[in-house]
Amino acid sequence: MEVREEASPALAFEKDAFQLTVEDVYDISYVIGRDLLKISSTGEEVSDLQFRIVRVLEMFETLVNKYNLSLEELKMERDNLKSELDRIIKESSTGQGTQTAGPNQLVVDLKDPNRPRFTMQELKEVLQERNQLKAQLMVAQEELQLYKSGILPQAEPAMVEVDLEPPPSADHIPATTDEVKEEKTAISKLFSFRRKRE
Amino acid sequence: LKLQVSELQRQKQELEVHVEEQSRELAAKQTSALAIPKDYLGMLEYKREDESRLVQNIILDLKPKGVVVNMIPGMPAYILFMCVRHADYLNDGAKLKSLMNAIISGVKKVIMDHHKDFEVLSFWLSNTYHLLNCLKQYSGEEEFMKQNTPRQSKNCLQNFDLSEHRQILSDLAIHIYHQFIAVMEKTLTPMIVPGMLVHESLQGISSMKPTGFRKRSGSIYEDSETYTISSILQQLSAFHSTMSQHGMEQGLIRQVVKQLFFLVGATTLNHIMLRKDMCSCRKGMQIRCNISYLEEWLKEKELQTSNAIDTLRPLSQAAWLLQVNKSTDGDAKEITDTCTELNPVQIVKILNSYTPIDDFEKRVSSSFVRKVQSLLQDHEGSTQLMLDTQYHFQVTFPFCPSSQALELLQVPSSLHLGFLTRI
Repeated sequence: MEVREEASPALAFEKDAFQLTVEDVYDISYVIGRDLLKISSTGEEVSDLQFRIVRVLEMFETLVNKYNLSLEELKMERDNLKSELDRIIKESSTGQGTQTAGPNQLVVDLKDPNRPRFTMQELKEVLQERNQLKAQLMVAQEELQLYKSGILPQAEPAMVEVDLEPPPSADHIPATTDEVKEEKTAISKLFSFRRKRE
Repeated sequence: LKLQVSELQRQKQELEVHVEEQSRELAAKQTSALAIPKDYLGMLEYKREDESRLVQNIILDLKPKGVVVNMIPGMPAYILFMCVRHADYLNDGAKLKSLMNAIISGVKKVIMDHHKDFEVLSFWLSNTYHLLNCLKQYSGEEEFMKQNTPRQSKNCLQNFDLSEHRQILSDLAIHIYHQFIAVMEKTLTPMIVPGMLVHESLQGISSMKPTGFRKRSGSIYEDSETYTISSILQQLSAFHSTMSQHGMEQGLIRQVVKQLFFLVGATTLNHIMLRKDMCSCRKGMQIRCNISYLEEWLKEKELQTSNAIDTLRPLSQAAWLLQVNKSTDGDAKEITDTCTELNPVQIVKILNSYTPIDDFEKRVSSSFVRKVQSLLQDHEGSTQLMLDTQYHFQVTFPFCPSSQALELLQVPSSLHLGFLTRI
């Protein structure tokens, strides 16, 4: 029956230099120590040699230890950097669909029913028109009132034709209703003057 | 990866520079050593205030594995003794007493802190024994000086008698030994019954349904990890290799092995007493086979003089009893003649428990059992069915002088004992 041999310390001698661990250095120490004993059991002849070998092996232990530690550290760093890199790559690939807006820009969703559609110019024109129409409306209403109350006779339609010219150019649009009111009163003054003449 | 290579290269260069420096230093030391050849006295000087640092570095913090201790396993013992020698040389009783007490407390502490650590226990058992031997060898007492070289006799303690401290140290060694044995027994025990009894390594035997205990629920081994006789042998080899690496005296190793073999034999025998299904001819054969493997192992490790195999005799006889014919008067006589290590209670129990392997074999007849019993009537001795597995042979530490010349010993730097001066 075979009894499996334990890992012999002498196997450390057969390892590749860069694969050595400190444990291997200790195994080497043991084997060399044993071999020295074979030469001289009293140790007289080999004593100096023995301690020089001890010194060399101590240095060897330090080197192997340092080497392995550095290797571990570098591996860890490399792994960290790799995972960082992977993370960054992933982020940038998912981030391409969105655009960031510039400092003075607006992002508009074209499907939004409440999206802005008209320019400022267009808006201005529309408002001006509205104001004119409103003013005309007010004049017409007052006129109607006057007719109703009998101030203005109906037989003199000619007189009635107040010259409601199309409102003057856009420059002179009464921005407020106050100005519209002033026009109105001016007109009514005209009419009252006429009645008196009769 | 480029980065790694350049980093490693840079480090390699650094290390190369370092190595160069070191070898230059070493060369310098050597030349200075050669220039002034000094005749050393084999002592180590230390300052009183450095005593605790000494104990810390050479006892408490010392790892059982390292360059120095692997090359020169007894180094700690020698270093400590060389300090003892110097305190004696100075005729400083207080210093000496303090040192001895510090050493003993230090070893006690390291054992306590690592009471389950097989390696530490082995290491300090070995070194405590070495120190004990040093104290005897250089005590100046005649009986211990017989094998000394003239130089060694000159190095004996001049002023103080340390026999009391030797006694304390000896007791400490016994304590360490028992702790050491306990740890090994704990490791070995779960392997014994599975490896010696249950596992069937013999081929060509009609396999019956394997008896239980191959899988224990919640135990340390899974399905695939059944202990076999190989497991036991491997474990014994591991123990032996560590003890050897620590430079343990052969005599002590032999005592350890004998104790462990006793455990194996007693545990196995007790188990047979309890289990009818272990009492078969086939099991008998398996046991005898395993015993032969253990014997082979002893030969391989050159431990025949340990008499460890004797501790297996009761088991061996029980195994023989299982195999042998048990029907005629002649058989009965043979049994009583052969089974000298088994008491009547045990023999009868085995006979009654005997289980035939197939239908052709018959159980042992009760008349046969009675016949054997009558033959054993006059036997005196134990009526215990089971053996005491906790029985421990008394350990002894016979004097073993060393041929090491103390003057030749240097203190390697990795022990961090720079505060010691080589005298």
